[in-house]
Amino acid sequence: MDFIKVEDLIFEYTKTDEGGAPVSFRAIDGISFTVQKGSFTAIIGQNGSGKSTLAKNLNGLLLPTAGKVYIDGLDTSVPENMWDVRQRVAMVFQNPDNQIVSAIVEDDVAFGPENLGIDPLEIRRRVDSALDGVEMGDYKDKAPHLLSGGQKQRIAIAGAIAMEPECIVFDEPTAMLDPRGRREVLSIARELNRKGMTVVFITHFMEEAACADQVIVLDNGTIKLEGTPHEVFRRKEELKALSLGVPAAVQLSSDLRDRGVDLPEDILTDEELIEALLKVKGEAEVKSL
Amino acid sequence: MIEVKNLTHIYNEGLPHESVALDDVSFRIEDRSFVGVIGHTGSGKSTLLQHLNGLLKPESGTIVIDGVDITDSHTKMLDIRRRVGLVFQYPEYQLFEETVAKDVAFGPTNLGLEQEEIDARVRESIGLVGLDYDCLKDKSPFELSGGQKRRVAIAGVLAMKPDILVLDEPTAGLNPKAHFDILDMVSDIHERENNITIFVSHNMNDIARMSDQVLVIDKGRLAMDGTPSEVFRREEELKAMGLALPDATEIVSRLRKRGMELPADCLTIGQAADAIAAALGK
Amino acid sequence: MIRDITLGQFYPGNSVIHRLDPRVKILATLLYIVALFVVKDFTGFIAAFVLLEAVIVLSKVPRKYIWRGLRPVLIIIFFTIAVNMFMIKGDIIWQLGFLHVTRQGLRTAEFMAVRLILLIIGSTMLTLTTRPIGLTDGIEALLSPFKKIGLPAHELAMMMTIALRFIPTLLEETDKIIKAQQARGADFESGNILRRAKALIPILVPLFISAFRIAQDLAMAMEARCYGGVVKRTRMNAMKFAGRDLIASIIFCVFLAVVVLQRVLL
Repeated sequence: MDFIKVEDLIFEYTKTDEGGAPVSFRAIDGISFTVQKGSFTAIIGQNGSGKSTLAKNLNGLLLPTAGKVYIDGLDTSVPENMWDVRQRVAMVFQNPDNQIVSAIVEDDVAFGPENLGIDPLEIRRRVDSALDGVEMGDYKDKAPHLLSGGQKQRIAIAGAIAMEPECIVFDEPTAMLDPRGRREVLSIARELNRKGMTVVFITHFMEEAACADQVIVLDNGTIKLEGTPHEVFRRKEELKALSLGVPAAVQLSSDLRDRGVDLPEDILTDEELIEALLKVKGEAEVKSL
Repeated sequence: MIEVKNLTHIYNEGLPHESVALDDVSFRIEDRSFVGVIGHTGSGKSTLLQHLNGLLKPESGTIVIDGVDITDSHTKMLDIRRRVGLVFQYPEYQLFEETVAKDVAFGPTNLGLEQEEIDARVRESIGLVGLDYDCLKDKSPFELSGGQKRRVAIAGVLAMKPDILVLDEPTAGLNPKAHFDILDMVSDIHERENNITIFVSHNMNDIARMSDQVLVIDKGRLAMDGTPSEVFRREEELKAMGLALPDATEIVSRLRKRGMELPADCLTIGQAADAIAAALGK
Repeated sequence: MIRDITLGQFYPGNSVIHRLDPRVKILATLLYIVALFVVKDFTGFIAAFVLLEAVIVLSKVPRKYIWRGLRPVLIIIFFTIAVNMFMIKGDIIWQLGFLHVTRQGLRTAEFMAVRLILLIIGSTMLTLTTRPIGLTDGIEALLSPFKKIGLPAHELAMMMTIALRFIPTLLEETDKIIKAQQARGADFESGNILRRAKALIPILVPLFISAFRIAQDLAMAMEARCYGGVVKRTRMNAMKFAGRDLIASIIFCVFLAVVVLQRVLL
């Protein structure tokens, strides 16, 4: 079932030029795609590719200039739908500091449910379970500014979970984190997805896209590539032309094929590459016997 | 040459929450080397960098740069700042002037140089970071793209003509393209200026590919000091500190564990490809 | 150093004082402060001290922690003592040049110092035992009668919440910016006032830009979490006026009444 349906989405920002006259800038230029309920979709692209603008169109923070975005069948541009849309699609942003509202961790996690007018006892239950879900239960009384970047981002995720959305859009949640923080955030996103949450994960780290069900590559406001990670990452030349890298295993297997090693085209992860190489080695040994 | 001897720094000394940020750190950096520094957030790397240009003073130990002890209280601060340029993380957040040229001129002006010299340096360092001086000099730095802002901020440090350039995670938060552009720029500057460049990164591929010498900091101590191949050979120790290997080294190491005969010092995808192809008789 | 200030900080706990309704705590603190200014002799202070001591013991907040909050304001206390000691005319008991200490001055100085210390510790106890959200909720509730005359009680309370959250972040940011500009040779320590004021520009401009960026991001994040929606907000820790609150209210009202009566009658 389609949970998110984007139809010919166009989004224009209005800026003022040096003379003060309004100029419109098209950040998203006619894109269409769907996201299945319970799936993990990765969106990759450079800065200025429109990926952040797209994210904000997925929960009505921005509304389409033209085209439509449907969330669970609800048109985001209908004002009556706005709060339903935002409750169904929660968001986690890039800067871990600038999205935490309250000076105490658990009060911050409660912020969303409080805005939804949930019963206090139910909020308590949601906050506790959301914090446990991101393994931050021990920090509920702490001040957010004393936590690491990865921990802050986990608090932000707990704040999203506590709204009991059906989908979480992660807008470059790992861009400002160190490797440990990145691993923490990605593994929580995958764990949530495993439990049935629809996840849209925006990133510029290719290896984070490798575990997705669907990868969408954006450039200049349009979709350049779309498909499973295997389908997308084998198109190495196109990705390079977009100045996007590929995971190390993909690059290495392509270099090895260039050197005459017989490897399949669809290697994506280290594990797949290692197994394939050991198979080649085994065959070579059999031949030489 | 930089010579750091027994450097120790303690935060909040005497208070109940005092903590040792640097613990007896000693190393040497030769002229013209490119040095990578790795370690976890909170390992003490940033504290170390801030000592290198006198922003922090050590509890004990010395830092001697070309024969001058910068930890000596008689050494003039401006003299240290002239020798060592420090580019902070997210340096674009320090831009403040109305125009790019004025912002870059801030450092040289503080050094008390003649106006003519300042202008020449501003022009030169904007060029060094790969930006068009005539096109950008009168623009507001806040109108630029993220990658351009970072370049302007780096130019602001280069304009002080430091012999030693220190960069704390110069590519933090950048996309793949801007990431490689900035690193290429840093290595171009290194070639052109023949300076000592020290950079902190969490990206082991960059560290392996670019550095002559790698310093590994763990819990305030210098855990390793050597060439990339010497350091990344010590897989178990690195992993115990929660640090990763370069992608190529990781794959090769796993193949070795599965019985393939490969050299232990592959650092880049290219080296790994050559070694694996050779092992398979191709 | 800045992080040592406990004034305005919360000390997590679950004591009876922590559990008191924030509205009651805020009003009690106000009653207590009014009482301190009504008091005219030391017996009144002894009563205030006993009350404060009871609150400290019940709150289970370590004294060391309270003391740390007092340290940054010691200067103000010493200044007050000095001003009172030297400025008030009366029977001179000690003199050095133009400086003279009078009996009345000494007495007033002691009086003021005790009053200030009791005042600061008292209000610190309010913030130490009330989480920031409780504090702002309490203020919002107490201000809500004034909504009728157009006072934006909720918005004021939300602004306070956000300020409490972001003060440490902005302090850290300031520290980073100062260091970065120092690395570019900036000098904040020498020169006359005008030069020093000018030297602040490289700190203030980036700081304002940071603050605006935070504001923009935060507004977006709050909207994404349905802030400003149509439904009426609820609170996780809804304020409830319980038996203990009644007792606390009575104690503080009686305290103020006694102090006032003492002043009027004696």
